[in-house]
Amino acid sequence: MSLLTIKDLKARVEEKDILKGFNLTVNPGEVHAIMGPNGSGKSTLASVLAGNESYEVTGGEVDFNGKDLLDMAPEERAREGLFLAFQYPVEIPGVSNVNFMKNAVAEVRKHRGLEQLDAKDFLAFMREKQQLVELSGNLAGRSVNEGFSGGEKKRNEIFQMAMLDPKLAILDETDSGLDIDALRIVASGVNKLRTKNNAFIVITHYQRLLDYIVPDFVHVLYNGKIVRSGTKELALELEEKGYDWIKEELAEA
Amino acid sequence: MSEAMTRSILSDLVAGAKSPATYKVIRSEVEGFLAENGIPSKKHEDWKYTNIKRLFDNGLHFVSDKCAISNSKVSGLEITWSDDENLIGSSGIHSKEVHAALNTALFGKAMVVRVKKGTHLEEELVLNQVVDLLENEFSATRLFIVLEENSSLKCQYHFSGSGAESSLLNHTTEVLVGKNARLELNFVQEVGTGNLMTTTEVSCERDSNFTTNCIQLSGKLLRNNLNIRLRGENVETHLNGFYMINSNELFDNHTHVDHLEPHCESNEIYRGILAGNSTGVFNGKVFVHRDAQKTNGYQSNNNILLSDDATMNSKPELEIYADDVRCSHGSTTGQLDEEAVFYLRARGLDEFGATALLLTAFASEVLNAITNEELRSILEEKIQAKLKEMRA
Amino acid sequence: MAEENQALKEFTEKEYEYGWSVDIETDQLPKGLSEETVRAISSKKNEPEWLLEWRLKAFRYWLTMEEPTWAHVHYPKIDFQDIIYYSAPKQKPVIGSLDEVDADMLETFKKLGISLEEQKRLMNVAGSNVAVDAVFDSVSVKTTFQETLREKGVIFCSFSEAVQNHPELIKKYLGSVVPYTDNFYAALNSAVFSDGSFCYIPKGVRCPMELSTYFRINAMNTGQFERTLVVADEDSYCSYLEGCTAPQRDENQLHAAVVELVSMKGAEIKYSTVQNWYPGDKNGKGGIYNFVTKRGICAGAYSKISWTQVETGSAVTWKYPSCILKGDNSIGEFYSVAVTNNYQQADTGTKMIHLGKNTKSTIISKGVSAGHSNNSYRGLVKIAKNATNARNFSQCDSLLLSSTSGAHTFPYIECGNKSAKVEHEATTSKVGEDQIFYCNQRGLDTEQAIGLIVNGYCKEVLNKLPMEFAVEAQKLLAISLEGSVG
Repeated sequence: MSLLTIKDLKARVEEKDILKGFNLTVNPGEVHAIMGPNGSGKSTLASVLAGNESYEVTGGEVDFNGKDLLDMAPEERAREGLFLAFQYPVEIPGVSNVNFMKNAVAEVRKHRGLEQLDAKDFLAFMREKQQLVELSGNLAGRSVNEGFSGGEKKRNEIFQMAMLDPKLAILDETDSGLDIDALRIVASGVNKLRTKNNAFIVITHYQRLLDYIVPDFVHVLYNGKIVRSGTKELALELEEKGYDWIKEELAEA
Repeated sequence: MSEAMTRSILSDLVAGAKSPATYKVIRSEVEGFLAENGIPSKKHEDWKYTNIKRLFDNGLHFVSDKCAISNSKVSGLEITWSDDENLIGSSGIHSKEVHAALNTALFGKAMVVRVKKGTHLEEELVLNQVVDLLENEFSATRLFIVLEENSSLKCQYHFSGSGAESSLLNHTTEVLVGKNARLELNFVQEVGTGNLMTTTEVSCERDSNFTTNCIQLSGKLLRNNLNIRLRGENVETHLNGFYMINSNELFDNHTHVDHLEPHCESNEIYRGILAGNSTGVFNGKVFVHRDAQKTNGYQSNNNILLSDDATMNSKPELEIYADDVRCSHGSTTGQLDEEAVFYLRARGLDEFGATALLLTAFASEVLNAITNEELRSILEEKIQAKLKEMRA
Repeated sequence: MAEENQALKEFTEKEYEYGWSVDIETDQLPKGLSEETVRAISSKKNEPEWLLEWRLKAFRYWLTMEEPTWAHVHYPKIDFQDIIYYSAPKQKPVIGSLDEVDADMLETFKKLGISLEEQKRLMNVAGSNVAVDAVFDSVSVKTTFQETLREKGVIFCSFSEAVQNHPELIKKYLGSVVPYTDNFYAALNSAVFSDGSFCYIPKGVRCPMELSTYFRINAMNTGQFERTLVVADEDSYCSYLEGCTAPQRDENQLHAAVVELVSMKGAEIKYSTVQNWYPGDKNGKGGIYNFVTKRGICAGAYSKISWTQVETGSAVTWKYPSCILKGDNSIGEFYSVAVTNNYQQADTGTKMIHLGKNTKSTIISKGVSAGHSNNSYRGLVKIAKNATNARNFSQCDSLLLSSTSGAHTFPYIECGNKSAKVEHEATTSKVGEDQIFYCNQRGLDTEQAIGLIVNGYCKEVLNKLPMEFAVEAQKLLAISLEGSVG
């Protein structure tokens, strides 16, 4: 059974139609890359799937693990196993990373009928996941994303992903603005979390990330729809020829 | 200043310049700008504390074959010389600032450093300019740095030598940082008794990262204009300066960060130590345009005065038109903490040692932004040496 | 921009939990305020002549004063003749066993959640004791643990009792920190104060338990005018908790209390307040007017006074707990969380007056404003000419939870001595839908998210509260802010 099926999804924000009939099927164990020029709808897609109410869904259906995703509140979708690594992770001063994760992990475990972790076990669990993305001990004690550099914020997203163990993770431009070292750490963290039961949608503007997180499928999003699909070779072609090439091909068609 | 005077100054200068026939359009823009604005006097807000008019009134003559920029060899890096009007001057800074205008009117060819798409250079590029100008000599040099998409470069730029007190070197650097590219550009300015005016005009595209550190150690007059335009989302920029000003020296730093797009971050720390009858000027402007939501802008200027005759003029400015931003600025000017000095002396350091230690710590926040350890050590030594001079 | 998050807006506002009243026969004076009223109050309480004289002087002085209008708050003019100045439940409970207390009243206390039995539970679980003096309308109803305290020489009783049993102490300290000439409401209070708490800690004694008082305004149209006096003699320590609730009423009710603290050489007083007065309904109707004068004097060298408060209620608050740092090396502290929602208005802050040498003060103020409320911090740090080596650190933060609420900061720094070190920092931030959505995406619902964020924001202050109050304070914050983000 597929993990995520998106049928003809249409969405708008601030009176503007952005997604105009988006289709995608993601099965467990797969990594899908979505590339596209600015304004094509990449961030809208991520926000709509996560349930951000600033975006209005005007048509289509989304099935997540056999349930109607669009019908669920954002926290329900999270508890069901959908994770969004934000393009611009927000800062929450006064709330420590530890405290934040404690509460979030407790909710997920409650939802899945798992026993809660006691304080000692939780800390051990946290330390284990911190190592995946080389997040130092003292960063964990600080307020969520407060004073974090760009790279640290992105690593923190992957750390949270490791803590919450989602079925489907959407990475929204996780690589934009990262230097090579930070990119390697983030990609390595993601790769370590890949299993045959979960899946990833990697939204990126640059092909470079896909050298590290190798996708099974690459889709080009343009003007609110997927206009081309292929394998990682498609990404290389895009990098070389730019998005104008796709626009021209579409114009000719 | 009358048009006639400007033309006369310009024609004197140009008479010495080997300007090519190309570059016509920009040169005419520049002439218009200079005629309208002239050489700034203390009445101009941006030049309130810094008098360069005296240099021009003395009479300057242009020399074109001095202070050439030399570069180290870095494999994978393309360095050429150009006067392509479509590239050099594309920033338009010459029609906004006087010294950029002067520079544009007079420079011969610009050094163009280009890092190609996807290239990450480990080796650092070192650029050098020796200021060996004699009495009343005026030189104009130009640099253009382009980082294409997804590339990265680290660069050191040294101004060394010692110019005559009545000479002037005018240098302009234009920088284009492409999408997701990264540039670290460090300036070291040590020109003895010479006068140096620089403009650094930077344009950053989305997802890029630009860090610049300017360490100012000697010069009769140093004036640096640094402008950074954040033209895409998710740009991060760090601009730092550290200056040590001794008697009869005047260092003036004017910075301008333009937040044009959302989700960008700028971080600015300028620190200085002033001794004798020195004068320092800091004017930092952070401009957040209406669409630049979620901007993070930090700016601070800290100064330590070691004597009663030193003067520091500090003007941090924040102009904010977006409503969902986080910006802060601060400026401090004061003396060394006497208690801290005493604490160190109570542990056996003599007064000079204690002061030096504290002042080095004061400098370190800026120095630590320089990633090249070797350069950092060299600078630490230079700072110690200058400190000795300042305390003498 | 798409419509504001409906889910947030449509949150059912939790009914003010303490909004009920009990019909108990009360003994009341008719409405209105005149010299007769003052005499009547004094005589009902059997007060000595000197105290009546003091009240009358205050009353006459009050008549010459004008109501202050400089605060950043707006409210309809108060008609001082339309208030009842004395209301005491008819039955005077005998201090002894709980069985002798009126069943209705016991029920009231149970509802308040401070049933006297609960203290026993607290004792067992936490291993700490809280002595409660419950004030029901204008009369202190019951004070427990007097025996234990008496052994140590600690006097903790109602103000009225203190007037009868320890008149020399009252005479010595009453009005010594807040003279009736101090301000309009202090004068009013001095004239008509009904009751309150009195506490005296003898030399060298560390009070063995938290001293606590609950206030409740029950009858309609009553003004509550408590007078509290806490005196800590040399090298003593005490921690005092003040908590308050009030029923839901349509008419506004006035609360003009005066609290005086005196800390002698080497003594320390910790005064904590969790205030949950009725804030007025969603549309700003009703609610308590809370105009309080609280002041402490660090009279002796090395003395210390800390004010810690969590304020979530009252329609209009005008309150500046202050410290006069007279003794050399004395310390004054102020930790506050003030939450305003709907149409509440708060103009609060503190005054730290540095007089002695080497004095130190710390101010940490956190304001949280939601709905259409207005939250102002007004602080004064005054360093007198001879106050050498004074140190002050102030941090005033405002958190905005809605785009229609306001936060304002008016710090006054008056520094007359060049050896002083005064630091002031103020930040304003907003909890936006972005942060709430981030938490949602991590599996936390909006209510949990707000609770997490506001508690994190107020952590620094909440940590200063005695444990018994800290938990209540956290719950209070969450309740006060339901449905507020947007």
